[in-house]
Amino acid sequence: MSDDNNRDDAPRTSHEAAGKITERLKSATSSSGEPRESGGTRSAKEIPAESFERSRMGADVPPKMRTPRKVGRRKPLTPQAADAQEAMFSRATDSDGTHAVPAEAFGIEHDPAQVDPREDRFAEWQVGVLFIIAALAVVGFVVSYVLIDQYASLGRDMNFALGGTFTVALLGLGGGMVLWAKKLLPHDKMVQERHDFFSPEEEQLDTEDVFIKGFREMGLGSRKVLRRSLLAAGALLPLPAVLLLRDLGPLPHSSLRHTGWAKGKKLVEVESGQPLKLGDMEIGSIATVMPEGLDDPNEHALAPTILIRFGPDQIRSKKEAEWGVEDHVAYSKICSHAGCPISLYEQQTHHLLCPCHQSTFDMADDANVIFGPAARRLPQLRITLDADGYFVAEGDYSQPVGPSFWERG
Amino acid sequence: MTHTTQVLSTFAARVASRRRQLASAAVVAIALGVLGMLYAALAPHGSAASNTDPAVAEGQKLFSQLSCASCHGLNGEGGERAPSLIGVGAAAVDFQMGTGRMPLQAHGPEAPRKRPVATEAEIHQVAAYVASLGPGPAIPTFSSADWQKADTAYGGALFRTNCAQCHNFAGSGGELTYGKYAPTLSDATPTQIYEAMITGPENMPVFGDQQITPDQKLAIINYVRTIKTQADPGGAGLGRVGPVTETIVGWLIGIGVLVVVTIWIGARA
Repeated sequence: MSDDNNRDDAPRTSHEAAGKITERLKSATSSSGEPRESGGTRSAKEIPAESFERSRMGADVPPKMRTPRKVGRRKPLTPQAADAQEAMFSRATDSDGTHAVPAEAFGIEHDPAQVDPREDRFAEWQVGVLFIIAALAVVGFVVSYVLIDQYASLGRDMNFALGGTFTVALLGLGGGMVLWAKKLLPHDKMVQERHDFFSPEEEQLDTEDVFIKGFREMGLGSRKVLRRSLLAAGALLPLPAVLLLRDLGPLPHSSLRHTGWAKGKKLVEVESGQPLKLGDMEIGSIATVMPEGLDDPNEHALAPTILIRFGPDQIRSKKEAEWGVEDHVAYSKICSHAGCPISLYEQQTHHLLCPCHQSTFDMADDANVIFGPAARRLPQLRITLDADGYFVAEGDYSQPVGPSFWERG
Repeated sequence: MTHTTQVLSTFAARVASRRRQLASAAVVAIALGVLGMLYAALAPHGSAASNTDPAVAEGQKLFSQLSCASCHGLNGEGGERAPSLIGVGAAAVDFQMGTGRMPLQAHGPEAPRKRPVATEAEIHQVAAYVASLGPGPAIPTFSSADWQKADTAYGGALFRTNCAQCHNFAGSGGELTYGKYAPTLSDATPTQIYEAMITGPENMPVFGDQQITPDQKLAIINYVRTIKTQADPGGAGLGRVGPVTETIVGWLIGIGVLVVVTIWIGARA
């Protein structure tokens, strides 16, 4: 049966009727299969006027635009431009109402290149030169890839050459296409009219019907057992999610309240690992110190401490001087705002500046907050000297270091 | 006749007025000269004049000539506008004058680096004079071979722990509070980096030799000098400040150009 049909010469689909796309490109027929009139004669004069009537653009069109008075008097398009415009208008209006609208409807004039053959040639060459530049840049890319030593100056030469040539190639190609579209293509637009956003009344009623039908089919009105058990199941369903929230814990309990410091632990320089003793620090110097023998990585986060040596009588807080030893004081290096490590210390002003949010602490006044979002002073570590003159901690910090947490109180 | 008289009288008047100008200039010059001689005779001489070292004597002369004394006092004892120089040592003088920060041009939050006003020999003389006022750190002496053989990686670790918070991880410098800033290290010589660490100029903390040993200091110097000469593999370093400049350039220039191009593409003919 089907074989018989296949032998039939009559076209069965519109695609078949129109013919292969390669054939259509040559014979220049429109999609509806009609042979196109030979170019030029039916150009700017009639097409726009005709398609205006088809368009219902009245409300959307700017006031500047009127039914084109000038249409008949406009300069004739160049043959190429007329051909392009005709190709655009030869597309039939589709089922969505998409149709071409002449550029004048938007108050747009044709580019000079579309009416003046000399401008047209100039524009064509402009685009052509850009394409040639793109081609040369691709050649340059290949040449650079072959010739440049990829390890020269950490690969920077190669990076620059490859990235640069490829950028020029893409820019040339893209720029040429944009110029082509702006200068040589007609500025008429394809317009699709907007339909109403709400559904028609019949569809709304139809949807209600489907809903009511389903409700009655399921018997939710009469089957009390089903209705209530379903409600119960639905109500209990979120419980697993609540239970899983519990795994956000366990609470930190005391782990945020103590650090690696303990009574008698030496203050060791963080990088060299050497313990510091009285006399090592000069006036106006700072050191980042950690407790001696700290190996639990979890405790590293809270232990960093800054050791500062002041000049005589520079410390203004009595408590600060008492907790330190011989003008040396030790403070937590973890900002009380968001936990950044702070060590931007200004020797003359005794300000300690946090680089994250500019909280500033006056280290001569017991780390008082003088600027920024930090809400608390930095905790001070009470230090003393051991028998050999090394700095040692008197104990752990007396309050939690670092930013606030829920149970801090 | 009347014409000739007029011309003559005008000429005479001009000569007279010029003579008056010359006379007043001469009076001012003589007065200044007398004042200068009086000052030279009566002005107090420095107490360190007894020192026999010729460099110290020359340095003391320069100390006044380069107007150090106008703020730091005739004997470097300090004043309302400037700190005492007794005990700051030769290293501090060599750093402050060698980087052109001293003599200070204007009071402000931070003394900027400028061209030095004195030659290296003159600076060393002033440094010798200031060192004679009281004991302080001396100008460090080391050769370029010393720091070039130091451990760069260890120097980097020390730099990131002790220096990078203010001077930036690439030594590009950064902002501090109230207009103060940590300067870039790109122009600093190895000696100046060493001197800055042992003297703590302006608001920089001191890093004494007990705390950061001379070997560690040389390692830091090697790190600073090494990153200075390193190429930026990604192209322009943008001051090596990090994500801030990169984002600004990316958004303002990159996205800005894209927006302008998009507007141009979409513009009606």
